Amino acid sequence: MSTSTVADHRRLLRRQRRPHGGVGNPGKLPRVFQGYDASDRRIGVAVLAAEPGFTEMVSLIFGFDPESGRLLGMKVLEQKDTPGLGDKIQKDSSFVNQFARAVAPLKGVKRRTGSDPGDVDVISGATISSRAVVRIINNAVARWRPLLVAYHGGGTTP
Amino acid sequence: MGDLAWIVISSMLVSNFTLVMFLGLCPFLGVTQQVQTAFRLGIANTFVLVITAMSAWFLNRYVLGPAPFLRTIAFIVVIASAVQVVEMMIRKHYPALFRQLGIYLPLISTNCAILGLAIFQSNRGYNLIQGLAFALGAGTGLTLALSLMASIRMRTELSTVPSLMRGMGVVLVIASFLSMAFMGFAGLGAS
Amino acid sequence: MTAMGAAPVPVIGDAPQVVSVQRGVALPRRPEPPLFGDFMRGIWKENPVLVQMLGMCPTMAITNNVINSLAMGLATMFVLLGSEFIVSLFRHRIPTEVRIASYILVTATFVTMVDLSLEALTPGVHRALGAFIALIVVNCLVLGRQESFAAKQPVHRAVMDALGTGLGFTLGLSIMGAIREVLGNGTFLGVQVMPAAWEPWVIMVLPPGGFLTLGIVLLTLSAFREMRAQRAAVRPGRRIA
Repeated sequence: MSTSTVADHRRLLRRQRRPHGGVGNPGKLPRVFQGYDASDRRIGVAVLAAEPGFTEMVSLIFGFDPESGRLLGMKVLEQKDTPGLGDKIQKDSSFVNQFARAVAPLKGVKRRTGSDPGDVDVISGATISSRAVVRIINNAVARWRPLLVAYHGGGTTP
Repeated sequence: MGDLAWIVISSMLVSNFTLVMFLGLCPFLGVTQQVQTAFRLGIANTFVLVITAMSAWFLNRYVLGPAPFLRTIAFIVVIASAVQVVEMMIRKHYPALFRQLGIYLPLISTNCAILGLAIFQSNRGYNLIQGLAFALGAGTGLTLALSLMASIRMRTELSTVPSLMRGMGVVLVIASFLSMAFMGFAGLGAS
Repeated sequence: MTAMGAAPVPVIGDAPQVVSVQRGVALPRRPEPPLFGDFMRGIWKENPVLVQMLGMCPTMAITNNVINSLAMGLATMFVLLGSEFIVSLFRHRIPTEVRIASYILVTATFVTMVDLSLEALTPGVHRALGAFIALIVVNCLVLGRQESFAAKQPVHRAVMDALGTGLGFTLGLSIMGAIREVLGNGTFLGVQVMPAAWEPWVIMVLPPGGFLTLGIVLLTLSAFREMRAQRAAVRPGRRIA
């Protein structure tokens, strides 16, 4: 019958919960992503992080292995720094690729000598943007590494 | 730098709403002949911005959940009403100010800065306190830019400006220099 | 219609209408057909970017390159078309007290349509244009055209005006975008046009460059206008409609 359908519909709407956070940011819990290879072994954790850069926020994603602190790679997702200079943190492959070998905690230096595995070449003319990337990764690693190591009990098997 | 502090510094200086984000250009280019008028318009704008930030937060959180596509329409309705209310309040309590602002008050409702603030706040997912800080910083930056432009324009009135540049030409060049000056704030907050 | 203070001049054409006076010389002009006039007026003589100075916010914010300028121009044209059509269709039914509010609501509806369509069809362009698509709602240009034209004219004229103004807006934006992209990036539509050794003027794609480019474009246009006016004054009576 039509009246009971309408009443049911109204009751359903009243019981519906609004999504938390509404349109803007549903759920404010920070998240990281565990990566597995083809044989289901844990290879590392992907972390999203964002902090102020030269102009707006720089947001990036990087992968690292919590036990050894070794980075697996980095990619800048969003930045609004100077085109041709600051945006090299996103577009310059030689800058981006050096994060695949680095070990946290990172340190930005003018010329990497290879002695310290935590050294990272900064882009000349884009010091603030490069240092922002280094700072973002260091802060995120410092925040997540103890939690992840404790979570996995310090072992390497899944 | 703290989260709120960065939001205020960023919206006021580093990403100044007028000189860097290109919002609120209609009053900036059109209504900056007198410093007093420009300053008061900036204050009125700041007031409306704060109200808009609160309304946008409320709408985002409680109203627009099931229908996010109505965001633009909902914001514009709220903004137009808020400006109407502000206008009535100013007319009742500060009649001298109302006479001075004249026609410019209704123009605030079509000011890109107000709607722009609501949209940025929604996109970045600010909560109420962050949204208020954002609005205060943006309004202060707007007032700053308006006052600076007005004071420089008042000086160019008394200088020799080539006839071709008079009017919009010199205003735009002044604006580009102000914008370049504000580029000096870049990096503030990236400790 | 005669111009004030001008002696009647033998004219070429149908009606003895003197429409414009230039430096004491009365120039006769043939009345142009209304539809075509509406269209062409928006493109050049009352170009929203270069002459009327309306819609400044998108003009300087997204003209970093030509693609964004074209996209924004076409999006605004679509919104103009839709909203001027609706406003003109219902112009006799909208009460005067609520007319601005209803214009804005109509515009907001079309802007939402454009926003969602762009997000679905061309996400790259949508990301580049960002919040400025939604800001078409408060673009003084759209409101101005609705208030001054669509509310008083029949539907076919409003549509032609929307087309002309939209194309004029796109033209103005594209000129800005072309200058800024070529000088600030060395590319045009993404294709490298400047020689490889040329160092791009990065300031042109940054905010100061937006202000500067528009200032220089306006300066150039007013210089041309001055030169044309001076030439017309030197040789009176030479211009025939």
